[in-house]
Amino acid sequence: MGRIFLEHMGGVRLFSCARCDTNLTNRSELISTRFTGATGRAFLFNRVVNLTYSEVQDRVMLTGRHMVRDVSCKSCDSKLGWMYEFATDENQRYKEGRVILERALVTETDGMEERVSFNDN
Amino acid sequence: MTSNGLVQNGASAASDTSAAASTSSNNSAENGLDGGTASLQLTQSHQDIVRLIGQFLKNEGLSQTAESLMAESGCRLDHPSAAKFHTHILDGDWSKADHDLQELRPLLGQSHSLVEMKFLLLEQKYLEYLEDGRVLDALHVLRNELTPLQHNTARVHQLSSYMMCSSTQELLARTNWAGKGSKSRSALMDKLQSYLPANIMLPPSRLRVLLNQAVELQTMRCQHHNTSHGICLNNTSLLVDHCCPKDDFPTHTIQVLNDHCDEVWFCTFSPDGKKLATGSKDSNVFIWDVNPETCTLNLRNTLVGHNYGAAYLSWSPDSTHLLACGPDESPEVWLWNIKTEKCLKISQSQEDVLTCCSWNKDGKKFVVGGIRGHFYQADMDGNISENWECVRVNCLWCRSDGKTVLASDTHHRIRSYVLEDLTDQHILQEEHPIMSFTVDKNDRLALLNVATQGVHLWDLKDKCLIRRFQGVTQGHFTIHSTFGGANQDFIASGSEDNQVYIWHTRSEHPLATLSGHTRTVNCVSWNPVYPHMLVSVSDDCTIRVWGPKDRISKPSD
Repeated sequence: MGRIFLEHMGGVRLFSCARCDTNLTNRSELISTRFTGATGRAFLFNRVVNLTYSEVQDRVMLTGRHMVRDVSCKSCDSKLGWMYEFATDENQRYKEGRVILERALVTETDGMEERVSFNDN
Repeated sequence: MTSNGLVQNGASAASDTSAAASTSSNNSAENGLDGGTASLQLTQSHQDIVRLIGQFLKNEGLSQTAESLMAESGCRLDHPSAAKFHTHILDGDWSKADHDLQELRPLLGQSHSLVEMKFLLLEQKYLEYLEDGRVLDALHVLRNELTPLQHNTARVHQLSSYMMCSSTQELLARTNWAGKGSKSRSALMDKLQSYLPANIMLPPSRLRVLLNQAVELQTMRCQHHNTSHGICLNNTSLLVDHCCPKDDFPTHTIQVLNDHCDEVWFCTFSPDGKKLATGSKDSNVFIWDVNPETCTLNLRNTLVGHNYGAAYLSWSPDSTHLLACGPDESPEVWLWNIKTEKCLKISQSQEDVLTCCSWNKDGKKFVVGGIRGHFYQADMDGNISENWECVRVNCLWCRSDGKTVLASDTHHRIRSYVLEDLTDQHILQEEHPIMSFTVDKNDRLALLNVATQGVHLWDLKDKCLIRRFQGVTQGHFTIHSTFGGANQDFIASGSEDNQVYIWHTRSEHPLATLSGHTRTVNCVSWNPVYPHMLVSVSDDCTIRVWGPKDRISKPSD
């Protein structure tokens, strides 16, 4: 279906799709490791790329009622986790817009030191 | 002839004015109207128009008509002193010309104009004396006329050195001057004229200049202007505005090719315009011969073996070799010799990911790169040199200086790299990912496909965004766009809504949208030599050739 356009966030420790190795995010985007998904441990990340999102679903979770979307790998379509659209509980609002990736569905690898200086000559 | 022009009766007034008019340069009145035809009152702009027409007629040799026009309208071509000045310059009558300058002095705007005009006059006088061998007279001019002006002393020194010339040929060669005669004197007059206000002396050939400007404006307004020969007075009719017919623009499907059996991801014409390369997910690259008369393609070579598919192609500058890159998993780049159909795989290791490439203008080396951080230069034998580590590039372009490479990276930037010096420089920053980019043939403008944003045009020298083009949907798939047209005035892009979009670089609204494909259009290429031909490729597995209406093939009987 065309040449799927994939982004790459770079960084020193990379997380990618366990099935097809598409880059998803990196350690610097990690917010919390204390989540649980269907396959076990899950991490909350701030920004993740190369995802496709499902329809919004109303789910009751351990922490309360949330509106979530399941997320899958843009390249191979395998399930990776979910993202939070809306949290009913005020204490849970920090999750909104952020993505949960299940530990078993992603691979962690080394990236490289990238020079990201802007506007230098 | 009295200057208040009182007349006894119509007949004698007419004969008086025609007598005055026949000695065209000696009209008596200082102001415009001569009281010719008493009831005719022309506005200032109409007087100007009459003067321009008179100048045109006179230049064409229709002096009688010019004179009777001036008589009837009561206008005059030039101020009488300016007209005298003109005659004296062309006759080489330098002392009279100098006297005329004094007369003209109060009419000149700026005081230093007079000195500059005198200088030019004396320069011609001096050079003419030298050519005639009148050395003493020339020396007199240099010492007693030019030097006291205390103007442009560097030029005076240069002029004095010409006294050493031993022959006319040497003089003409060293001075770069046309020699004594009407040609150099006319050139001098043109220079002098620029110091005189327009109502004193008309700028030369003013009507022709105005008409050329009108033709230029019509050309700029011509929306589908797709021809490289310049439009000017000599080759266009003034009776209708210039406008290229819309039917000549490549918006009609001429041919649909189904040879690929899977998504076609890329297409590009060779620099000589005679071949087209297409790359597909079906692992083949096809090379087609271009027939510019019929706007059709003929399959010529099938290059096989791109196991991940061929996603990006690049022709060598001499159109003999092709580089083919795969999509995101491919560790190597294929270098094909089109004639022999032999290929060389370029790679540093199987761990590489190489998805983009660009040829150096010398045609002997090229750069390759990918988003896993590999970016290096290689030559036609596959030898790797000049490695730049740790930058994730997704599109490359070698600039015309032969050493700078532009690369778009995953941080939404385009930076320039000089690989041999290991120096780099920031060029531009976008706020969304850059999927692909291409540069125009003047190496000045960059056309970017920016995810979810559309097509952006940047100026590489001034490093600023010129225009965002509206209409294209993209973000999910990698789409490529191109410059095109006889003067590279147009831009074309593929789109996820199955259409080809064409814009004029001047306007953000699409000029044309071409329908026909049934899936996403991944890439468009505009023939660089035959600008009436455009090709697009799509996920619907087809290649479409677009051309002018009259090339549509008639169904066979």
